[in-house]
Amino acid sequence: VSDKTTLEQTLAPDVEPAWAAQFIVACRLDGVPGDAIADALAEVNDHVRAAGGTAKEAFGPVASYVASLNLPHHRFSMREVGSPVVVGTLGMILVLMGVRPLRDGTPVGLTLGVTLGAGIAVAAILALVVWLGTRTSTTGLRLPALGLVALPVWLCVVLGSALLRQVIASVPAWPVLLLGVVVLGAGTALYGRMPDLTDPLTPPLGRRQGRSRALARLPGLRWSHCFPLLR
Amino acid sequence: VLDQVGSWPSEWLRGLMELCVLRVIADGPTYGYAIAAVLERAGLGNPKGGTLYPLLGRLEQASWVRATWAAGDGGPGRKFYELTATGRDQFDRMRPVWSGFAAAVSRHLEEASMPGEDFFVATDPEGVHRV
Repeated sequence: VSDKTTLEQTLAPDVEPAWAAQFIVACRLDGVPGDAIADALAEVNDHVRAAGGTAKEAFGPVASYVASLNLPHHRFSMREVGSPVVVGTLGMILVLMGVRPLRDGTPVGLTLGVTLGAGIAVAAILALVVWLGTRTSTTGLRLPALGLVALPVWLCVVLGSALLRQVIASVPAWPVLLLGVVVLGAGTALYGRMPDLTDPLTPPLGRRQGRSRALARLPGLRWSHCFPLLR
Repeated sequence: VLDQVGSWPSEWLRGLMELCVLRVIADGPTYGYAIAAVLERAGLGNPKGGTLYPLLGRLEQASWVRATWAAGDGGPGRKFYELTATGRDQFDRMRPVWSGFAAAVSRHLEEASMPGEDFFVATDPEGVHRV
């Protein structure tokens, strides 16, 4: 959708902009997917265009019309959304840990701080994933409160890694790198299956479907997940 | 026959709109406004968009109609509806049922006397009920 025209003008040029804007907001608040909103609005536009008059006359108040349509609702699994990020990040860290020692021909030295930090981080991430897995939407999710819990955990990981530097074990570099690449690949595969969170409103006839829509996300997928390898 | 605002009683239309809409779509793929126009021409009133499209949505969810988008007269597109095999079966089943029901209602309303007169209480000229 062009930045120079509003969503309402693009999706429903013959409908009163205020009615169309209220319709979009009401559907968004109700958790209706973007495609379903665009379809319903395009149908309103076609009716108003053919019949004349206004949307308000033909369809009545926005709230009651949205309620009567019984449109579908999003049912995102938070585990489905969070897992690619967690697994991808873990893969990135392992790859970064393995690349330099492999180049220098040295083993990966596991310090006490890194080991403790990794243990805390993995436990925190697993707890988060399990907790998010019990939710079906982001409604009521207190992100600032989540940040207040995550910040001390993150500080423990960073400070522990920086201060507790005695090496407690050495691991050959190539298994670490290999494991990192495998985990990174798994994260990338999970990302490919992740629902499109941007959920744009696109007109029904100008829409990519299924496989082509997933393929359109590949450039972003490649750059965001191969970044540590390129460094 | 029409009520004070020039349309059929809304209770009647609510019950029958589904069958009437299926009848229009049974003639071939068509779109919302065209369905409303055909119904109006048939003397069934002019259904508002707020009534028609939720009904079409329910028919689609029930897989009685299939919807596809195509270019319309400008605008972002036009949604066409056509009957599925299930929808046609349903329509073919409901049509004779309605005809039978309508005939029974007509008989009921127009026949001068009904069997089972014993059920009624007679009233004498002074307005006193007697059994």
